[in-house]
Amino acid sequence: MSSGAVRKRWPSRVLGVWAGAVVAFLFAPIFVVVLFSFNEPGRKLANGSWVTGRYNYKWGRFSLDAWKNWNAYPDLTSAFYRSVRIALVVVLISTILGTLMSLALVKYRFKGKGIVNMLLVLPLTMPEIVLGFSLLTLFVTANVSRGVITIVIAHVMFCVSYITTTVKARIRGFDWRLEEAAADLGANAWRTFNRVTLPIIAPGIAAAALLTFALSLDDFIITYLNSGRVETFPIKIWITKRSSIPPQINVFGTVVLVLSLALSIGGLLGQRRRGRVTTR
Amino acid sequence: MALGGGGGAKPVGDGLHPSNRWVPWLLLGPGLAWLFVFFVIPLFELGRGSLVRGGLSNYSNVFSDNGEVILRTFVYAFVATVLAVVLGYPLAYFIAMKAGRFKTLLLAAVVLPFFVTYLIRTLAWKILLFGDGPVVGFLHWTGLLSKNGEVLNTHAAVIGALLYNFLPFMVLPIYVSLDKIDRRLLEAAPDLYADGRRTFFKVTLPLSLPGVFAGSLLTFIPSCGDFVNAELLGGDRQRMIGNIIEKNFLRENFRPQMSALSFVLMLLILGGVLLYARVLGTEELA
Amino acid sequence: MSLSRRQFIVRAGLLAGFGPGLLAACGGDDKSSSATEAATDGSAAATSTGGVVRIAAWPFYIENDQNPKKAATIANFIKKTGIDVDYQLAIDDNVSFTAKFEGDLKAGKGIGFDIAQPTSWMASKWIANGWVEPFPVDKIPNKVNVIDSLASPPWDPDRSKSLPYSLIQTGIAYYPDKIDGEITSIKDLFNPKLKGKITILSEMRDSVGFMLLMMGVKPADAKLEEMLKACEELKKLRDAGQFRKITGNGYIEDLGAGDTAAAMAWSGDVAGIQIDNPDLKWVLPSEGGILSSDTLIIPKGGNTDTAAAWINYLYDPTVSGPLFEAINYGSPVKGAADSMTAEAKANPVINPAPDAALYAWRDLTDDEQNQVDEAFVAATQQ
Repeated sequence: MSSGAVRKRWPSRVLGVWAGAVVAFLFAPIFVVVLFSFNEPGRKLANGSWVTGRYNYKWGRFSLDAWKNWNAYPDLTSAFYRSVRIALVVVLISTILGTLMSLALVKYRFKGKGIVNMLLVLPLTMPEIVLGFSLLTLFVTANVSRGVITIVIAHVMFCVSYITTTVKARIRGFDWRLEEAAADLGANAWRTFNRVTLPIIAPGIAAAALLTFALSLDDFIITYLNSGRVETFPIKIWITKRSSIPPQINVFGTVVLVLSLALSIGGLLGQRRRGRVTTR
Repeated sequence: MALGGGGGAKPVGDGLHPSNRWVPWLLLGPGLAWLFVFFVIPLFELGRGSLVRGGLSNYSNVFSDNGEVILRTFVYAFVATVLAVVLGYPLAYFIAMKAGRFKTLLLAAVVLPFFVTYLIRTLAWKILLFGDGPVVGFLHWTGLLSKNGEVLNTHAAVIGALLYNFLPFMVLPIYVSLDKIDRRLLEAAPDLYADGRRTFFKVTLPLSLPGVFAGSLLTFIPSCGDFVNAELLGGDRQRMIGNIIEKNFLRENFRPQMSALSFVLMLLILGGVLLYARVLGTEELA
Repeated sequence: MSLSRRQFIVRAGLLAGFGPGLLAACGGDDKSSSATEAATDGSAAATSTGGVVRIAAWPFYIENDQNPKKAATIANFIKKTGIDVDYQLAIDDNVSFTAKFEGDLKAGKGIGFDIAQPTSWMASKWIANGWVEPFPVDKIPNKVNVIDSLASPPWDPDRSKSLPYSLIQTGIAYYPDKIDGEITSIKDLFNPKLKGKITILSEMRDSVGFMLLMMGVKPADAKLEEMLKACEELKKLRDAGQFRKITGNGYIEDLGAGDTAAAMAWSGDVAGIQIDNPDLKWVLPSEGGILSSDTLIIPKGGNTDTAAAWINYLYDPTVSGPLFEAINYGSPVKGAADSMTAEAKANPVINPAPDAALYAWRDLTDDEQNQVDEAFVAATQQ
C-alpha cells in the first residue's frame, strides 16, 4: 500500500471532489425547495406596497407566511391528506400480499417458481406510462369509473413487486429449521409464526413498507392516468400550477422531507441500539 | 395455519419444504391474482386494443408518425443512463470504499432528495434553470452559453432532469455490489498486479458490473416512459413518447395508435434489456 | 375543521386493520360538514336546499381559484343558498377533459360533477350525444337574461340544456422588452424573428382560427380545404421551430413566470397575470381575434337542483357584473355591465365594442370536425 501511496493520493482526491460534486447536484433542487418555502413571490409597487404573485418561481422576498398559513389552501391540504390515506391503505394491502408471496418463494420448492419470479420482475421492467395506460384500457373496457379505488388498485399492483423482491432478499438467509424446532417444542402454528418467524422477517417488512409508502405518496404518472376526478397531492400540484404555485406546496414538501429524515435517523439509532444489545 | 409451515411438511436438510404442494400456492394466491387481473390482463387488453381499427397498420403508423419522437426518447434515456454511470459510479465507489464512518450519512444523502415529491423536485429545477436564474447566469458569465442562449426548453434540460431524477437508482445498486466485494480480494490484488489501476480494472470493476447492470435498467426504463420532465423543462422540440401518449391517451380516435405506441415502447425496452443482459452476461435481473 | 381532519387521520391509522372500511373512507371528504355549517348559519336563506354543487372549471374563471371558498361569488352563493361548492380546476382543454370522462358518459354514469364549462362547440357535442341533463328550466328564472346573440344557437335553440358562461377573446399577450418591439398582428407573432419564443394553444379553433385570419379567411365562412391548409401552414411553422410550446391552459404558467416572450392567449388569463407582470401587454391582432364562449352544462348524472341554483345565481346581473369585472372576460348576462365600475364598463376586453374585430367559428359538421381535428393533431401533437 505504502509504495503506491504517492501515486494514489491524487486520484483519490479527485474521487472525493467528484463524489462531493454529485452529492451537491443531488441536493441543489432540494435546497431550492426548502428555500422557496420562505418565499413570498411578487413585486413591490412604486408606492412601496407589496403585490403577491401567483407563481412561486422567482424570489420575491423572505416571508414566514406560507409556514404560518400552511393551511391557506384547504384543497391542497386535503389532497395531501388524501394521498397519505391512500398510501396507508396501499402499504397495508401490498405488504400482506407481498410478504405472503415472498414467504412462499423463499420457504418452498415448487414447480412454476421461475414463472412466478418472472411475473414479479416484469412490472419493474416496464415504464410507468405503459403500466398506467394498460390498466386504464382495462378500466375503460370493463366500464369501471376511475377514482380512489382504481388508484389503490394501481398502486398495489406495482408495490407488490417491490415488497416481494425486497422482503425476499431480506429473509433468504433465514434458517427455517428454527420453526420446526419451535413446533417440536410444542408451539402451535400461530405461536411459531408470532414468536419465531415474525421477529425475523419484521425488519425487512418494515423497510419494504416504508419504501412502498414513499412510492405511493409520490407516484404521479400511473395515478394521473387512473384517477378520474380524484386529486392526490401530486395531481393537485399538476393541476393547480396552471393558475398558481403557492409556496405552501414547498412547505408540504419540506415537512415530508424533515419527517422522513427524522424517521430514518430514528430507525438508524434504533437499529444501532438493538445491534448493541444482541452483541452483548 | 399454513404460515408456520408446520403442517404436514417434513423437515428437510436445508429447511425448505418441497413436499407441500398447495401451501406455496395458497400464499402466492392473493398476490398472483392481483398481478394477473391488474397487470397481465391489462397488457393483454392493451395489445388487443392496439389491433382495433387498422390492425397491424397501427404499428407501421406508429413509426411513420412518431419515428422522430421514438428516436429522441431512446437517445435521451440512453444519454441520461450513460451520464448516470459516469456521475454515479465514482460516488458509489467513494461511499463503499473510502467513506469510512460517513458511509451511512452519505447513503442517506443519496436517498434523501427522493423524499421530496417528484413534481416539486422537478419544479425546483425549473426555478434554477429560468432565463434569469442562477444556472443560466453562471453559464453566460463563463461564456459557455451564448448571450441569448437558454437552458430551459433544450435537450440538455430534459436529459439533465432525467439524469437527476433517476441517479440514486444508479448509485444504490452499484454501491451494493461494490460493498459486497470481499476486501481480502482487493488486498491480495496488489500482490498480483502491483498497480491500483489494474486492481480496479481486473477485480473491482468486473465484480461491480451486476450493480451497473441493475442501475442502468433502473435509470433507463423509467426515463423511457417519463413525460413529466419533458413537459416541465422541455418545449415542443423535446417531446418524448410519454408526452404523446399522455396528450392523446383518452381520445377515442387515437386509442389504437396510442396502444400500439405503448406496446412498441414496451417491446423496444424488453429487447434492449435482453440484449444488454447478453452483452454484460448477467443472467439474473436486479 | 383541520382538527377534525387530523383526528380522522389518526382514526384511519388505528383502523388500518379494516382495509375496505378505510378504502371507503379515502373517498370521503369532509365537504358535507362545511355544508351543514353553512346551512345552520343564521344568515342562510329560507330557500336553503343544502347539498353541494360540484363544478369542473377552467383556471382563472372565478375571483380566487386557488382558494375558491374565498372567492366572493362562491362565498355569497353558499351564504345565500346553503349549498356548498366543490370547485375543481378540472379543465385544461376541451378535448382532454371530454376524453377523460367519455367512457363514463357513454355508460350513462355520473362523472362526479354537476356543472361543467366546455366551450360551445364541445358543449354542442355533449348535447348531441345525450351526455347532459336537461335544465330544470322553472328553477332558472334568470335564464331570460341571456344576451340575444347567444339566446338561440342551432344546437340548443331554446337553451334548455345549456347557457353561456363567458365570452372569450383569443388575442396575443407579449412582453415588449423580451421581443425588442411591439406586436400588432398575427403576422408579427408568426414572424421567424420570434422563433422558439412563442406559444400557441392546443385548442384547434384558436390556433387554426389565427392561421385562417392571417390567410384572410373568416372562421365563420372557412371551407374545409382552407382549414386543412391552415393546419398545414401551422405544421410548417412548427417544423421551422417557431413554437416554444403548444399547450392548453398551461401556457399561462410560463407566460406568468416570464419564460415565454409572446403567446396566443385568452383575455382573462392575461389580466390575471398582469397583476404580477405589469410589463405584459395584451393586443387584439389587426387581422382580428377569435371570439368563443364557454358553456354551462349539467353532465349526465349531475345534481340538477344544485346545478340549477348555481346557474340561476350566475344569471343574476348583479352577480355577473362584479364577477366578470374581476376575471376580465365578457359576461353573457344582460345588464351585467350596469353592475360594473365605469372603468370596467369601458374596458374593451370585458365589454368589446359591437364592431370589434372578433370572429366566431361556424358550427362544423361531424365530418369536418373529425378531419380538421385529425389534421390539427398531426400538425401539432405528433
